Amino acid sequence: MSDSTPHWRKDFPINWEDDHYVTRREFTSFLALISGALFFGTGLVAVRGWWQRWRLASPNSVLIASVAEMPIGVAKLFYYPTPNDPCLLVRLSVDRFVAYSQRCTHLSCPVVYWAADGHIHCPCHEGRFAVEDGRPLAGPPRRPLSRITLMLRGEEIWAMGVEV
Amino acid sequence: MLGHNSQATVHNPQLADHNTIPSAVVRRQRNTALSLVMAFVIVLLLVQLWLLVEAVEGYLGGAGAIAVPAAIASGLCSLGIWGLWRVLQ
Repeated sequence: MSDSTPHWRKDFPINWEDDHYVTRREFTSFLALISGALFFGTGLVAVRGWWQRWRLASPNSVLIASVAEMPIGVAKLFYYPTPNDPCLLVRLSVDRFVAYSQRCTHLSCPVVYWAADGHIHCPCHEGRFAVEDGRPLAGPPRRPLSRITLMLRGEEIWAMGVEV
Repeated sequence: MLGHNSQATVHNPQLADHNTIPSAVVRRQRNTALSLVMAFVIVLLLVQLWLLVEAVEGYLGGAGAIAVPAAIASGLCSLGIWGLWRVLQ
């Protein structure tokens, strides 16, 4: 350094422009790190999805309601197969019951039964599902709602499994 | 044959001696190759990002099975990026 250089520069001889300069090789290394993080994230989602499917593959039968407490056109919320899985039970006629997972197949918003219109509605993105079979009618959802297999045992309604 | 080739390389007027600073032509070629590799890495990264978004959407929509092939494809992209990164180092 020359004599005209300030004293502080001698004590702190770092050029910020040089220090902040990122070479293409360094930038590519950073991209490689991001790539690893994206792979890790996708793998994590895959493992969670596998865990969810494995959990659903071995469901148990659960008593969810009695016929007497379900008037026609009324929906009841229940949880199946775990307390973290909300579902809707709907009585369509005297002897016809249907039940679906309450998670919208678009982005998992909770769906609600609209008895007046006779369909299941997702308030997040205006998705609609047919109450008869859970197929998507309108909005962004493209897959039908997961259906809960039901069984009538006398006056009791039992959930027996999940059809994804 | 090998000796002939190496002789030809040495006498090529556009290329400097390998032990010294590369010529402008070689530097330009390296620059182009480096830019190409970087562009390819960025494309692979965008594909990985798309795969992650699709996997998350599938998972939230109850179709978690989509995430498995997405994770495999993402791993292949990562391997490709890692290989290109090794080439650059």
